Amino acid sequence: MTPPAAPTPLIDWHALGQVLLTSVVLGVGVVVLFSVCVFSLSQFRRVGATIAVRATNAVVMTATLAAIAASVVWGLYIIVHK
Amino acid sequence: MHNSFLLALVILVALVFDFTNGFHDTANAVAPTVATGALKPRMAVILSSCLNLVGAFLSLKVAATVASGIVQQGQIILPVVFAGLIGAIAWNITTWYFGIPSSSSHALIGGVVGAMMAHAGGSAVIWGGITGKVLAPSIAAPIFALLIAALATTISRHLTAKSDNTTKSWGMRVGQIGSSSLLSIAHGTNDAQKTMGVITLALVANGTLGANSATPKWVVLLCGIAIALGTFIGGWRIIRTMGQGFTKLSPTQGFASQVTSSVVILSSSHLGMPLSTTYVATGSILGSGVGTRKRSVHWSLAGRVGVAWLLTLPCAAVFGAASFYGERLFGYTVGVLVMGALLAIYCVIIFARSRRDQIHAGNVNDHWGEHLEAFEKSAKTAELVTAGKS
Repeated sequence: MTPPAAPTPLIDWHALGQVLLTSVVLGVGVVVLFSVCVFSLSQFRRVGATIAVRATNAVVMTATLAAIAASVVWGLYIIVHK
Repeated sequence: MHNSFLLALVILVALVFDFTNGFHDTANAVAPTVATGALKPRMAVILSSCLNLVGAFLSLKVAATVASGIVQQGQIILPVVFAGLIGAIAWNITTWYFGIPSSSSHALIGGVVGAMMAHAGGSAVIWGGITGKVLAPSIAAPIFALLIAALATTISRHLTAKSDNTTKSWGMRVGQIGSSSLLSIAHGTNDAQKTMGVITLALVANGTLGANSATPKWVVLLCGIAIALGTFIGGWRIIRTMGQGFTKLSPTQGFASQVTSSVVILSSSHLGMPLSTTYVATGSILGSGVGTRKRSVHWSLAGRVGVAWLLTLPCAAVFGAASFYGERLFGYTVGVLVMGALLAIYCVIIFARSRRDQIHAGNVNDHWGEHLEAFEKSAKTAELVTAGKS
C-alpha cells in the first residue's frame, strides 16, 4: 500500500530560496570583484607608484576582469540555454 | 474568413502590446545609465534597443509557456486574447503617462485573466497558479533585489573609498555600460517571448498551428522588431522616475543596481521563477539608495509606485473584462474593431496630454532635478512649519 502523494505546495519556496542564494553570491560577488578592479586601477594610476605596486595591481585587475568576463559568459549561456 | 480577420487583428494588437512593453520597460535597463551620465540618453536607448532585438532571437524555450498555469488553455478563444491585450495596453499607457514603473507582464496576465473571467467565469482561472507563479515572485523579487543591491552598494562604497574619484567614477560608468547591456539582452529574451507566446497561442487557438507547435520564425522576427522599436522610442517619463526619482544615483550605485537586477532576473529565469523585470529593477535602485551613507531614498514616491503595483493585476483585469464584454455586445467581429478603435482613441488622448509636459532625451535628467528641488523645498518648509508650531 503506497502512501498518498504529498500535495504540491502553492509557492515553490525551494526555488525562491535558490534564487535568493544565487543572486546574493553572484550579485555581491561581481560588484565586489569590479570594485576591487577599480581600486586597483586607481592604485595603478597613482602618481609615484612603484613598479612593484603597478605590477601587483595590474595582476589584480586582470584577474578580477577575467572572473567578471567568465560570469558574463555564464549569464549569456543561461539566456541561450534556459 | 472571420477567424482569419480576427487572428490578424489579435497579432496586430499583440505587436502593439510588445511595442508598449518595449518603451514602458526601457527604463529597467537604461535609467541608471542615463542618470549617472555613463551614456548619453539617446545612445543608451539605441544600445538597449539593439540588444533587446538580439535578446529576442537568443532563446525560444519559454515562448509557449506564457499562459500555462494561469488560465485553462482549453477555453481560450481569440476574442479573449484580444480583450486581454487591450486591457494590458490600456494599463501600460496609463502608467506610462504617470511615469509609474509597473509590470507589463502583470498587465498582460491581469488582462487575460479578466477577459477569461468575463468569458468563462472564475473557474477558468487557475488561482493557485496566480498565487504561486505571479504573486509570490512579484513580492519576493523586489525585496531580494533591494537587499542585495543595498549590500553590494555598501561593500563597493567601502572597497573604493580610497580610490581617486575620477578613476572610480570612470570605472563604474564603464561597468554600467556592460551591466546595462546584459540587462537589455535579458529583457529582450524574457519579454519579447511573452508576446511570441501570446501570438503562438492565438495561432493554435485558430487552428493555424497544431498543438505544441514551435513558434514560427516570422513571429520571432516581428516580436523582436516590435520590442526593439518600442525601446528605441524610449519611455522617458519612466526613465526619469527610475533614474532620478527614487534616489540620486552615483555611478557606484548605478553599477550595483544594474548588476543586481541582471543577476536576479537571470537566476530566477534559470530556476524557472517567472518575475517582473520592472519590479526587480525598481527594487535594485531603491536598494542602491539604502546602501549609501545617508540612506537617501524618497520612500513616499516608492510607496506610490507600490500602490500602482498592487493595482496592476486588478485594473488590467477590469480593462480586459470590460473589453471582452464590449466585444460580446457588438458581436466578436465588429466588437474587436470597436474595442480596438476605442483603445486607439484612448492612446491618442493620452499622447496628446503627455505633450503638455513632454519628457525627452534632452530633459530627462534636468526636469526631474527641478521636481526634486521643489520636493525637497516643500519638505523643508513642512519641517520648518512643524518646528514653528512645536
